[in-house]
Amino acid sequence: MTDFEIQRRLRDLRGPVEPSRDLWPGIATRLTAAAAPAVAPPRRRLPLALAAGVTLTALAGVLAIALQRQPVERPLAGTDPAILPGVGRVPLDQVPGGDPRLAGATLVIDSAQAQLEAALEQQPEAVFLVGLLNRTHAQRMKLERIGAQAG
Amino acid sequence: MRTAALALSLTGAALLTVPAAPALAAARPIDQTVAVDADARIDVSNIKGSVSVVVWDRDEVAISGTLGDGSKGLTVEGGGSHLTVRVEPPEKSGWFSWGADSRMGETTLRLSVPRRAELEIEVVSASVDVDGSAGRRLSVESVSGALRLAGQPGECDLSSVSGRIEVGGCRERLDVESVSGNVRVRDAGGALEFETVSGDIDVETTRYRTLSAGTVSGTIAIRGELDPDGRVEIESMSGDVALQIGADASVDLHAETFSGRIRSDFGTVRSEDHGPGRSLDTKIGSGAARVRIETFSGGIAITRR
Repeated sequence: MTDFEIQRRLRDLRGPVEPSRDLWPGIATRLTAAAAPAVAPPRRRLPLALAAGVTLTALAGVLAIALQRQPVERPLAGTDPAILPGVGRVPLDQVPGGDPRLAGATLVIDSAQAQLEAALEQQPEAVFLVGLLNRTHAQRMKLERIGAQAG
Repeated sequence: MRTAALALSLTGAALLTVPAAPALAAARPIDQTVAVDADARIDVSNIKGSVSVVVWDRDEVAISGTLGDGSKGLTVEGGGSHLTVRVEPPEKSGWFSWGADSRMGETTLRLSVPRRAELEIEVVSASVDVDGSAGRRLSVESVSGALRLAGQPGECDLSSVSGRIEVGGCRERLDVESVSGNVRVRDAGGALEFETVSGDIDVETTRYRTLSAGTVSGTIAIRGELDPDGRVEIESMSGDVALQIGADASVDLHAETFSGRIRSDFGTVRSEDHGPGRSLDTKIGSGAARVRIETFSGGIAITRR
């Protein structure tokens, strides 16, 4: 079965499903019983939901900026490593080989992986996101191989 | 010069090394010629500076340019069916050594090679320019140098971390991989494969058989005629995708996005009744070719050519 066929079958599962029995009497009973205490929790949860929303928005913004500020080509001759793309925004001990030339690519790949994982949480059935994540991981491994030749 | 080259080929494997010069000396000129087969494999490596390759109708390789300060030398090995041209890093330094890179001057390598020679080029920050190659295979691997290919090699494997990649011709198979470098392709056919993390992919060609493109946040734009039984698979997380389909094409088309938008000149876009998501399933003509596009938040635009 190909990825697309798996994807198509998973998509078919999203459709409405008719319950095998009438569920409304049970729901109505529980709604009536829980009517009084049910009023308060939404108000208490509102600040938490807002805080979570703001945090998620800020995180998405930071990641988006990190991806947009992708490294640009620069000649390396006589270059001060401090001005290479990504240097200062990612700890050098997290860069393959500690090589400042790979800091920009490390930042781009790590940000991409974080975004893909966040997307997968929202759309866990997306097989193609797993494929992109795997291929991005392979790019990270390739960077590690290049970094192993540094020093 | 030609006599010397023939002598080298007759004596079998040859090894020539431009000796090391004192650090900070002036760039040393390079001028060598080696006889090779018409379809020889030629390996070239440089660290920084440039590699320029042009073709000619002679069974020999001419190497010219200047060797950058600090390099241990230029090694030229072999001849006949396999030639290696390698810029050596400074003493006691690895090929990708940051210390070596910062202590070296730029080396300019200019090569004239047989038209049908197979090329394998490896650089760190050096730019690579290949013009006119029609060999069986061309492979270029770079860290930050820009790559430009103009010619008609049979198979092309191009890879860069952050350098941009420009391709103007590849006959049968093209495989391009990049982290953040942008990819621009004009006139490539056969099987096309592209993969970037944040780099954009821009392809315009006359006809292709299969295409596979994936990116996390780069944009993807594809223009060209798909073979009647061709296959296209495009995947993107947040990058936008634009695909042109010929008006007389015969395509089974599926496009799907979780939170992006779909705009299409073919079929009707459907929104999910329950939860997010938009999709498009339609057949153009008999639908012999297959096109599949999936994004998470990137927009999808499918237009008629």
